[in-house]
Amino acid sequence: MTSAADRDPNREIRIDVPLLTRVEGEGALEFTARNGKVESLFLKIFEPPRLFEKFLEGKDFSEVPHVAARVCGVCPIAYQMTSIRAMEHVFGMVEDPWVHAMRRIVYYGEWLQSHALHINLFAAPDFLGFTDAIEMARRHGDDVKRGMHLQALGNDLLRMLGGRSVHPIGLRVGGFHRAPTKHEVADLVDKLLAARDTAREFVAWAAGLPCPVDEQDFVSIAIQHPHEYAINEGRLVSDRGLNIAFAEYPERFREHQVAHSTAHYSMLDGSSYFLGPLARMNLNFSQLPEEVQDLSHELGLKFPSRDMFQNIAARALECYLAVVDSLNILQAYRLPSRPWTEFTPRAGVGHHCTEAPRGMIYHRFELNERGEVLSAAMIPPTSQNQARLEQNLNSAMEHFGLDHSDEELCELCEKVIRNYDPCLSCSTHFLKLTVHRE
Amino acid sequence: MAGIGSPHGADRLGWAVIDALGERGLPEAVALRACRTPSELTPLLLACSRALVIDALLGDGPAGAIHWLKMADLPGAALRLSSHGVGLVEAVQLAAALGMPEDRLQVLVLDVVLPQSDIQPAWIDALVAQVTAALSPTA
Repeated sequence: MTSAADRDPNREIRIDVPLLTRVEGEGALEFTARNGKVESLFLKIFEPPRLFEKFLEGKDFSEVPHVAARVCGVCPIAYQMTSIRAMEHVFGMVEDPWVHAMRRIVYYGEWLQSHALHINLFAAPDFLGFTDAIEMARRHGDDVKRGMHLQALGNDLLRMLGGRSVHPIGLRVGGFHRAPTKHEVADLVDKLLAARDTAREFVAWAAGLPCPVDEQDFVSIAIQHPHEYAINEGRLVSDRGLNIAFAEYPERFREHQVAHSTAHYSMLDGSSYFLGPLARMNLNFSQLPEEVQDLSHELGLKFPSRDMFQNIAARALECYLAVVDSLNILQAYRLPSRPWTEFTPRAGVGHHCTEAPRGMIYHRFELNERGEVLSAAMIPPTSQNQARLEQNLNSAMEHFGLDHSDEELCELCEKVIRNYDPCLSCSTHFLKLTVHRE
Repeated sequence: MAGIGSPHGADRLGWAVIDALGERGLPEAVALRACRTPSELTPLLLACSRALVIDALLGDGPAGAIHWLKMADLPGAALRLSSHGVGLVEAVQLAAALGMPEDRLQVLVLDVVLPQSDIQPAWIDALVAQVTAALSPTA
């Protein structure tokens, strides 16, 4: 029982969550309010810097995908694919259509396993009133099994082209080391056909979770492509008029450090912005296959949406997209004469963006004439989302009202943070050191 | 039978035992799986009638000590950490919450003491012998 004093909005409130749970990586939240106003709110990411960009210097281009995969055990494809495409730009390569299609497949595998894991085991317990997924599994066993089934299917897609689901080894500059056999593809098509209804049920379940409404004013940014729901190719667009090539990213986006976090904050022309499934739906809904759009309409989902918690429904719809579009691609599968395109290394700078499960990721590679890395930059989605997430926490708290108990305020903050599916480990990339000498 | 592991160091042990068992020819009903993450284990535990999980243990030694564990021997777990933190215990507890009977599972671990320990051929032989004995009709 909480007393009236416990809910006095003018009381001094200090909330300290020393270790955020059910997110990827480690971080903390510190929040202070006084006299009815939020005084300070920090999402503190205290994981040590990963230094991967430095590790890559001097490495041959062929080693980069294997090192890049180690940045993240949950979304290695995002790091591999973005670095590979950036280096292909340096080498002046045009993406082969078969390679393009298979890259969508392997990326769908990553989306499916990451999204299903997040909705099923991280986010859902928040909305169904359980402290963790094991407790939830005792009451909602069939729902948890359904999510695990989709997660396993995502891993199957990853394994088919990547060789294994964790730190895949099948990707290379130019394409893939090996093309799946027709028999392997046929097996996977059978699994995808069997999972189509499961995925529809999963979307309906996720869209029906009793999430709060959290209307926010934010800028959505995603890759947009003229012919497909963008994952690997296109231009960076926003719902406020941004429309740039990937190479223009460094001119418009700037990173800066803050004292309370080892992750950088990224700003577009000085303002925060939002990435991820909801941003993609807000910008690219009309490019979803008709079947996916129809399901969204049937469930009463509307995009674009300003409700941050629609991120869960958007994430679930992308699971269905992964099943439907993988089927479309794999049912027309043909063995290529060779699963990669030949090229000659040369010196230069390449930029590329792809859509990681959590949102757009940017890589820049500078190579010498032998194809060795001179410098690398990798900007993950979580650090790009960090400024927006803190703003979201502030305004969600104001809308919710400080006349709630500390425990209720804390619960809301954790829900808001998890809703971004943040990957705190990946967001801690290279820190710059500035020494002032007097 | 599932071996938990990865390609490097002492963590390779689970996979090495699965490889060795694969070469011996086991009864047809026995399926061997090399799992890279414990989370791959949960669906397998739900799908089989009897499960034996083989893993390396970072214990107090001596190196090479073998332990048989049952569900009751595993510590309690709450799946509250990130997926980076989903270990064998969490994967097993999730399977139990989803209906796996406790007596379905046996866990066979060998103490490697340090993650960088070299795997000894004698460790693999000892674990294979334990598994083979457990599979015999008189076990």
